[in-house]
Amino acid sequence: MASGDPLFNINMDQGLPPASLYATPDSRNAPSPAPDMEVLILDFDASQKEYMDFPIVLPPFYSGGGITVTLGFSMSTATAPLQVRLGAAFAAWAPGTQVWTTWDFATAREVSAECPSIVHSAGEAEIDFSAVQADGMAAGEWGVLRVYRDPTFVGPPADDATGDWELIYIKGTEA
Amino acid sequence: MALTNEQRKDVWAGFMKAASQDRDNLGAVSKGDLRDAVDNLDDWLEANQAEINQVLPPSVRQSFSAGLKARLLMFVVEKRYL
Repeated sequence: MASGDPLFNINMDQGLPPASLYATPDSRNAPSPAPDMEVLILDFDASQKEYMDFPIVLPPFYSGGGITVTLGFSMSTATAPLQVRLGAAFAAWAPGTQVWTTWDFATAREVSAECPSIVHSAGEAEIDFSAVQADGMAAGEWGVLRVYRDPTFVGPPADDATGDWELIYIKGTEA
Repeated sequence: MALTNEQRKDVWAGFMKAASQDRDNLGAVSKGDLRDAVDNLDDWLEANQAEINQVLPPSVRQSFSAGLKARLLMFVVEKRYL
């Protein structure tokens, strides 16, 4: 398996809201050409920390190395140089050993990302995980990837971007 | 009485949520600057509420509740700027 090869692609309809503090489904309208394209996105609030969980399966050809999670996003209202604080965490469901009542995420990895310089335009943020940081998920194994925005992060750089962080897609690649 | 810290936070967060739903362009104005704007506007209203009351005709000043006067002010501001 070569570096940069795809491990998973996630669209926002695959999100599982946690019991509370979940991101809100929304849609973005692209009006040309008719009929309009409506893309499902998830809104992460600017004043409280919100989460969304995504079930994933790592492909059988995954070599067990690091994983880069790429978050494709836009901002509802904010532009550069404002920043958002983003995080992700893996929870591997190891067959034969995992128990629902003790299942938990590995320590989250976070990154600060600058808002795109043009409002409503596309941005990407990457979060790198070692295999251990990815909760030791093995090839062919099922698990959950949790994604969140932490607008309470004081930095530096602080999450100082107004309005929603709009998550459009998630890509996982071999690091 | 000025808004409490929690009420000001509600205004700040509510404004951002409304702006997000309307896809408003707030540009590079930070969350901190926006919160300062909420605080300053509320401070100004606190300091000038007597003057606002004073410009109302006596009949309105004496018979309208504070809530009705505030609603009237909102109608004027909305028509002027929105």
